[in-house]
Amino acid sequence: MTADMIVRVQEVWRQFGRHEALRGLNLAVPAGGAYALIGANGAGKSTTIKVVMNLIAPSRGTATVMGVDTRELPPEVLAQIGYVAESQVMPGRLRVGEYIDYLRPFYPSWDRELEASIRSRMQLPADRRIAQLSHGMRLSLGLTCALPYRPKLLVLDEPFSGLDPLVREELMEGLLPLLGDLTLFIASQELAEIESIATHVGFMHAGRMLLEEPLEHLSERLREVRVTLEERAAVPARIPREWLQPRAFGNVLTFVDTNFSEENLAERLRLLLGPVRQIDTETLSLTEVFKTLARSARDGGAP
Amino acid sequence: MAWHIFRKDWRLMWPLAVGTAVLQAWILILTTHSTPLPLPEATSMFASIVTLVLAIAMTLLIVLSIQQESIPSISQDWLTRPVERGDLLLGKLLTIALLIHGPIFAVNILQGLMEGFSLGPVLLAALHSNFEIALCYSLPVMVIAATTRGVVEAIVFGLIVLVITLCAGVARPTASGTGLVWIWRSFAHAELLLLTIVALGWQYLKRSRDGTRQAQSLFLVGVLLSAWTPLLPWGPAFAIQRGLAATPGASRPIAIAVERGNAEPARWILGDATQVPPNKGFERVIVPLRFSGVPGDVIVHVDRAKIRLVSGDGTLLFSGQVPTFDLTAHGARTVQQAFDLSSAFYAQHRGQSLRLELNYFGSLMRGKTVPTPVPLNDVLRVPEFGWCATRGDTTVELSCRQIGALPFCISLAVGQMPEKFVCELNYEPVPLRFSVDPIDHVKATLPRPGAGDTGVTIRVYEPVDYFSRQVAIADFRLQDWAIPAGSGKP
Repeated sequence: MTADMIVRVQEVWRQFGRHEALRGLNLAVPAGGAYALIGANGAGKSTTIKVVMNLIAPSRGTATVMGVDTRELPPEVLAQIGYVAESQVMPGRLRVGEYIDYLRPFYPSWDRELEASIRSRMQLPADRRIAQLSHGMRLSLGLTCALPYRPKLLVLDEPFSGLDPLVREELMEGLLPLLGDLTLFIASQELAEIESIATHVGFMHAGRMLLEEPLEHLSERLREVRVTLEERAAVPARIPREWLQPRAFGNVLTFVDTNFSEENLAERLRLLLGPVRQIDTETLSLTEVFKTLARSARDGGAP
Repeated sequence: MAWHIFRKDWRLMWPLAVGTAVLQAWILILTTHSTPLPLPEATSMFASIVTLVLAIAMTLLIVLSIQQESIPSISQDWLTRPVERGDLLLGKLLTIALLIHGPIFAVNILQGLMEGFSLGPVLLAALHSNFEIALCYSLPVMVIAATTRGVVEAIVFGLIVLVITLCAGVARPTASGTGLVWIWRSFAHAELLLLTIVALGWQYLKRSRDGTRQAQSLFLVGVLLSAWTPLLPWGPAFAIQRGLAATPGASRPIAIAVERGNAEPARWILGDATQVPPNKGFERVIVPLRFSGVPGDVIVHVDRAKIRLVSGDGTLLFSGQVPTFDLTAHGARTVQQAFDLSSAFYAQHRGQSLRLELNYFGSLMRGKTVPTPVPLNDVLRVPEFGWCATRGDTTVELSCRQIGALPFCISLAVGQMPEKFVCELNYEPVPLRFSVDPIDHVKATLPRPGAGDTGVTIRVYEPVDYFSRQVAIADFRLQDWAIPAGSGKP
């Protein structure tokens, strides 16, 4: 990735006691894109986001946001970043309206009209104390407090858990487009929600980045291939490294090709599997990509 | 933005802040004296309990307000907001100044005025009191709160600080019990203040997330240094004290020599020490001394006496401190300087020709009688001494309350009875005498007055000059100066 990177993480290690949450992580979020950081639970996604937001310091390595070392993020840079996380703690005794009023003066670019629009969509009770909000409402408040200043970078860490479908839709289809020139950096398990907007995908496993590329490339590269053979199918003893999750049923052999190419496909399959009656290929959804990569990583395969 | 942050803290903390202010008002009502005499014991005890509750509430208020924006947190929302750290620090200082010190200051002023003191000294005493509270309480609690993530963590760190303070205090090599102790205390306060400010600055102004341990370490070093204060040896401290003498040169004629005749046993007028027989396994040596050139109207107080025993070839065999003493005004100018040596040391060197060096560091204390005696069973405003009252028939109980600091050493006498000294030696210049309590007080019980006695005479003793002298005896043989066991006489 050589484009202008708004977030860059280089060789970052982070230890918690003996546990290494991040192990030489590299990551680059291009400006203007929507980067989906995916991975199984415990892969290190939230730790990565906390390092990017200077909530925790890396044990080794460097991370930069807008070219500034995250360890020294000044208010001028923070004023251009929106951050919403499941674990975010807001002052519980303040009321919703009081907290928004408190935050407003810190942002020179705060847009009160946009704030009003977001508040009407989120329908948050202004007089209720934050501690009395439900989990979903707290996330809605987090979003309400992260968007009105039109951040250049919006960092979301599991923002959808607890949000009702209407708010999710409002966010993804209604609010984000309002923000204009925005880079989205999102870690979420709700892949169906982010698939429509993600332009880049980073797949983490055990503190490392196993795969990072534009979603478009990934969709072209990863295909589910379904081969119907003339005879009864069996998984060959030696299969190409690019094939993941091969399985045979009747005359059909199915696998995910991680380096798919249509060039000489039938010939290559015939040489490996014998006479082929039919070949079907299908692009994978982000959820399927995640499942494939996660299984492969768990089983020690390379994506 | 500091004010904006304070206003947010006020919205969050006002119930606790109002609660602490109410407790302070309650203590004010309980403890404000209609007379300078001590409060009834039950009232005093109840006020102590309320004060303890207040201290806990104030500590909680500081910790909670600081931890509204917890710096070591990894999940608080404010950490990702464009909050200038300098503004945050100022905002928190404002919160502590207005919610903690504001009510204390107001209560101090009210109490001073209600007890009949004038506004100027009351304001000054309130400022002194708040400075002392900020230095020894608010700022350290602020550092503890700023370097921890929650109340429980703050309590644990606070206990660690307390244990370190106590342990270091036990090993304190300073001059406790002497009037010079304020010099070490001032250094300790300066060290604590400096490192508290550095720790706070480090924690608040450094944006990096890995500074908390360093800030805690800096603060602990400050606590350790302030509890131990090993930085200044006695000599330079005494030189500082001499530089502050009220009448420099008053002690110049004083000389100390070995007395060839009998000398008076050592006495302690300003302190409460008594001479005890040597412990088992020790031998007592006594050197009679004569002081000359001492002005007639002063008490000579020896703050510290050091001994060195040197062999003929210049080897230092023994050094240490020896018991101090006082010489009364107009009294005898001789004294028995006693010191104890281990029996083994004594046996080894008893007949050896040694050189004895005795180094004395002392103060001249001049007394000044307060012109008007305090009438028996009455109250009197004594100029520059505050309100004084006496009560009792069989014994006389005297109590005085003064805004700011009272003289540290006074004597009280009823009629022709001997003076009773009430001294807590402290040569600290008055402007530096900070105390948590803006009203100083002294109380004493005196013997039954005679039939014609009408009042208690107060004398104030202040140091006028300081001196150091050396007495050296060549060819000093321990056996010639030691007292036979059990005889009490050389």
